[in-house]
Amino acid sequence: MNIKIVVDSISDMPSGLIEKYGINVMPLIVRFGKDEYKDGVDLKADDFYERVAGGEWPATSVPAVGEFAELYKDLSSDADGIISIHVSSKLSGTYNSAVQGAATLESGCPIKVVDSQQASMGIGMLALVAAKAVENGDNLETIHDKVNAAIPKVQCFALLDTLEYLQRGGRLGKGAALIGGLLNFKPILRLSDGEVHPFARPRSRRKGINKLVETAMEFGNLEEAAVMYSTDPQETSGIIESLSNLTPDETDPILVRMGPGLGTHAGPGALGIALLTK
Amino acid sequence: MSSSSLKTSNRPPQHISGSTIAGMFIAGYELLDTHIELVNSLNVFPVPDGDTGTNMAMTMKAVSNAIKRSLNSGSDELEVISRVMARSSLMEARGNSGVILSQFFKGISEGVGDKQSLGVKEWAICMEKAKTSAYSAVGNPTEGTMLTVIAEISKQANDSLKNGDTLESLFNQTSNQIKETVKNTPQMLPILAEAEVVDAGAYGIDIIFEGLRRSINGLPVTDVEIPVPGMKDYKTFTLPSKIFLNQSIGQDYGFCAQVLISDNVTQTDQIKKSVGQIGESVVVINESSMLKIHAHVQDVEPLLQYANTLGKVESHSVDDMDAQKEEFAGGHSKSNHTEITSLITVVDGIGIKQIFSELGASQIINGGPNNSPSVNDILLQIESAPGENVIVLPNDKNIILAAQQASKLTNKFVEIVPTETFQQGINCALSFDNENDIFKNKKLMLDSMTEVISAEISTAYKNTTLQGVEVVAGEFVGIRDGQLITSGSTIDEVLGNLLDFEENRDVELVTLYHGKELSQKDSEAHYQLISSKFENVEFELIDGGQSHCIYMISLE
Repeated sequence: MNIKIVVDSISDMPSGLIEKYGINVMPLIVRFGKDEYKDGVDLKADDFYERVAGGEWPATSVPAVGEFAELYKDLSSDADGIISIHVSSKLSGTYNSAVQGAATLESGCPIKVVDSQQASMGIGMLALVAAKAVENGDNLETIHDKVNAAIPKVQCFALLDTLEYLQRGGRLGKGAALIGGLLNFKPILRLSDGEVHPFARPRSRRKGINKLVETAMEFGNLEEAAVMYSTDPQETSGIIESLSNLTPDETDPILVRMGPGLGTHAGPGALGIALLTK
Repeated sequence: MSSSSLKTSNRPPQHISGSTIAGMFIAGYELLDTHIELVNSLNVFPVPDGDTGTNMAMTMKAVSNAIKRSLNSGSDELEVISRVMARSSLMEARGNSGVILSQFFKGISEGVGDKQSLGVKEWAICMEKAKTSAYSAVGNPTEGTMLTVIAEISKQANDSLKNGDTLESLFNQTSNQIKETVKNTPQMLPILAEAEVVDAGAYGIDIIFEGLRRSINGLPVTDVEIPVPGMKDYKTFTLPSKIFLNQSIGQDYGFCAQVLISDNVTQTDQIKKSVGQIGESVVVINESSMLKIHAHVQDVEPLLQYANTLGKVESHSVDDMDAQKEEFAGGHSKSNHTEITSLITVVDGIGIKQIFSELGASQIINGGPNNSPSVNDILLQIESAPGENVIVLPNDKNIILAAQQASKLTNKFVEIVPTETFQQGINCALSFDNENDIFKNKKLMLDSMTEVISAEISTAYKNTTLQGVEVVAGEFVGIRDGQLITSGSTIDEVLGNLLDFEENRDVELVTLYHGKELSQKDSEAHYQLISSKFENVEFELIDGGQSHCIYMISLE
């Protein structure tokens, strides 16, 4: 059995895991005005956030159907199947692009395209489930079943410095309830049912970080945990320490940098946690 | 037979050859390319991400480039060009709109087959196939989008065939028909009506077909602006997402109210007229036996009273636009309306009222210390609150009892979170989420209530000694957790003493709500001074507008 795993760049999967499991990443397009970049390929996080700090507004575009078609074609030459896991279809057209791309393939190599209903390492959690199933020697159907069964077990929360980026990108959804008014607070959002929902309104960043930790605690023991950040890795240390009490063997949670594609919508100063609950 | 004007030497073609169709779709792309931002600005469906124009243009660009490559290599046969268009659009398709476009081209290619040119009849066949193919592109085709426009294009081609029209006349009439359809998209797709836009993708098709029409007629596509059908204000139009946000915040607009009604039999036009007399920005949508009214009103009551005469009011909201939008866009997502929780709160002052509204309180009762609302005042708000589950924040010791009394006089399920100050109330409201059930809301609120310390600064009205503090009439007094702890002749002094108080040493965030008797300028001076004195504390100054004290202060 040779099953290949594909994710998109919104998964923010760290390079270590990508290499370890031989995962293929389809980059989204990140745009600054007329300049276009492949997310994470010819635009890295540091350069991206620097340009954002310099006052430029980014935007994202989905990968073309043809790019998926080409990737699937390449992979299918020596694969028995492909599982392709993507950012929530309610937030991006990437999933649809992948489905169309898969439909062009004539080689007969089966492809399962999965709507993760998640973003960032929330997608990555499902890719890890797939990777472990591949290691286990499962066939494509079984892998697909395991990934689908894991979707409701993934929890993803983010503490944002501002909702402006989500708002500009049109992904705020019900999170609009957290638009500030007279009173300042830091929005915490939750991804559920594939969409952005309001979760909490801590009055300070410190309280927000505590709230993230408390929230993770409420889920009890975890299969896997990740801590995400866009610009400030320092702030993750407290969360990492607390979350390590919840993971199997008390290993540190996976540290994840939110890449340009996700950063376009989360903005600088974002922190998040992605959990695979039991 | 329609009369075509054949005055110019550049006569419209009688047939569409390979090079004709090449020119048509290159023109379609070029015209679309100059309208990208305009199309983007309308994009609210299916995901309001403002990239429909970009996606359509990128897909069309691929088509245009592929056509040019084919022409440059000497292949201008209709069969080749149409195949090239289908292939290139599919490979570069982006977003739903791009995928639909690519299926449109696939249909054309199927209709062309091995023909060398197209007349009206063959074009009608191509459009029929394009329509079928486009509808099959998406899982659940939605009307009021570019799909509807493509269907109309096919219909027009068939009508033109029946009427014996020329190609020129066919494309002129098609453009007119498209514009009519684009104009009507908000009637077909409620989310568009709500955002007061026409469908972005539908408008994109309008532009492409304008390009085709212009190419057929020998008209230019540069320096041309195609107005958005049905939107006179399209040039000054701002992004729909911003419109939603402004509506949900804007105190200046009064309330943004929405009512869902079932069993309505009244004509939509009549309802629009009647609601127009109560409020502004009226949108009335009738969909699958539910009627939805959206309006900006100063007072919600008259709207609700009117709504009750129309049928059964299923739900209404005055601030949560998004949940309703969701419900209408998604049809039947979740919304067990008996499960939602409503928040009622007592307020004193414009700023305090605005904060509670922004945090999700649907009913507001004016009151506070020295101005207790009656049991009946509270009961009235409980009865008019949306849903059956209601939380009341009294925000004053002397109002808790009245709230408890009121809760016994209603059939609704009422929980009182016994807040004694506005500061506590605001912290509770920060934890409020109307989608949580009432028990979870109450629990979160009780936890939050104790997270803040409430303090205030008031003026003393008589000479006295209270709790060991000597107070002279006209002086300012500082109260913390109901205890008088300091007095002084200036506000700055009392504020400093309050924060210097030993038990306040761990405080990190101080929110100052200044009352209505204090000017913004004076309060900013206090704020500047106190911020410079306590550098490790974060201060926030808010115009609370309360009348019961000079400063309400929350310490956390």
